[in-house]
Amino acid sequence: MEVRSPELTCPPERLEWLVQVLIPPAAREAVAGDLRELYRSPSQYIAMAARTIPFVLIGHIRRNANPPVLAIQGFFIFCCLMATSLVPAGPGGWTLAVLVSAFVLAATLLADAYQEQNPPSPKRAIIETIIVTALVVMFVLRELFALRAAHRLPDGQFGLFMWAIVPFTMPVLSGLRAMMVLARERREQSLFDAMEPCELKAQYRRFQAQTRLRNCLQSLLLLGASAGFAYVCATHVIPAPALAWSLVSIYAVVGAYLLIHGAAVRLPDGADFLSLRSAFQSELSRQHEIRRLILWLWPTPLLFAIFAAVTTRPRNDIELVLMLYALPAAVLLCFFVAILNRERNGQIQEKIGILARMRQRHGP
Amino acid sequence: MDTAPLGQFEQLVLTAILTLEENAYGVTIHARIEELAAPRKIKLGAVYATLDRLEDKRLIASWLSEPTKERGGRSRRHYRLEEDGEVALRDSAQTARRIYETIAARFGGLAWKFVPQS
Repeated sequence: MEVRSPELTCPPERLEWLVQVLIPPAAREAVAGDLRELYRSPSQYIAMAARTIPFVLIGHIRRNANPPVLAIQGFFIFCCLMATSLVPAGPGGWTLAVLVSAFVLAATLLADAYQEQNPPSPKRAIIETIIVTALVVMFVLRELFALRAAHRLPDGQFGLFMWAIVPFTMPVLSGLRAMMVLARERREQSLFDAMEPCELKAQYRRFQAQTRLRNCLQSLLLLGASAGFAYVCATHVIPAPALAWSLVSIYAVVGAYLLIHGAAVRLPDGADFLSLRSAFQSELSRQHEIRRLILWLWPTPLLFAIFAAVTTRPRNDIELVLMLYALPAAVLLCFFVAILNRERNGQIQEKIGILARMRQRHGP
Repeated sequence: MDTAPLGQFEQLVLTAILTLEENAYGVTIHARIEELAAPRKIKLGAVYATLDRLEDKRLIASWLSEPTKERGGRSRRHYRLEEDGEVALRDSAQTARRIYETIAARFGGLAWKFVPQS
């Protein structure tokens, strides 16, 4: 039998590392392993990786894409751009804002596809918070300077921001982020490397009960918020009523959807260990997508308010300053929604990974 | 379960998984599909994309094997047909048979041969 030397049977280390980095983490192990099995020569390996990775990447982008969440994120970016002096007024400004929003969304999709399969390390989480907070502070400072240069900044606003808001923002947000990390570390893992089918079924039923309760509560909150917004829209004069009514409908539709289809599906009767595991993975993923959407829905009224202020109200100096504070508040709120989702996504991917490797344990 | 009809490539992937049984993972599925679809060349990436889609439709289930040395300490992702996948594949096969019989009857018998028109 012909025995191939190691140089012929496995790709050069650096080349393999590069290919591995380009494969989305969720598929990295299986795809990199398959490519190594098919290795014949460096050029063949590069050609095969170049033909394979784009498909894998597009597949993961499709899997991670949550269209309603993308719509909210796109709207958020658009509002932020429109509310600042970064985008010029007029139709050219709108076009620029739409193009930049589309570009940022595409980058977000790509970043999601390459997101690691576990929650970020505590160090990384804190550094990210510090960077985002610093960027927001710098952005507000830039806008304040622009307003001061245009003599549109009311007295005392600059000092208020510098001495009353800046010193507290970063420590408070970093502290909140650290609390999230600590809560994650304290959480006990309920899935193990080997389980009996009955144990797995019991875990799934617990998960089903938790999601049922959570979805019912969320649904009631959403329907209540929808009714509240509808009352305000019907009894008060509000700017951009069409937008406000569309928000009312979105809350009502999502609330109703949660009531009707939100529950985790029943496990198939007589399913074996493999099917149980697969159904559990799919449902974990689906419930995470639902939660992701709902978390993004809550700050949406603030985004609508900013959008309405930008597009319909005359801009006097006080409103400008108010918007200046509302905008970073919205950015930080959306940042927190994003990291909450990311923490949750890391936990879900960890669970899915455990389920994928789980072995069936036979009872005593 | 009421699922959308399978595309031709999905049928090929499901058939490959069905025939490979315990040994169905990326490399072997790709090789079997190339046999089934010959002389068409099939891209490995297209196989992964279809496997992901079929898994999302809950027609197949996947799991990771123990890591192996020849794969650089990496696991294989194995696939298996789920009950809904078997049903979908049977439905597709029946449709394909009806199409085949209809065409065969039109060309006079099941031993018909495709003759390209000039």
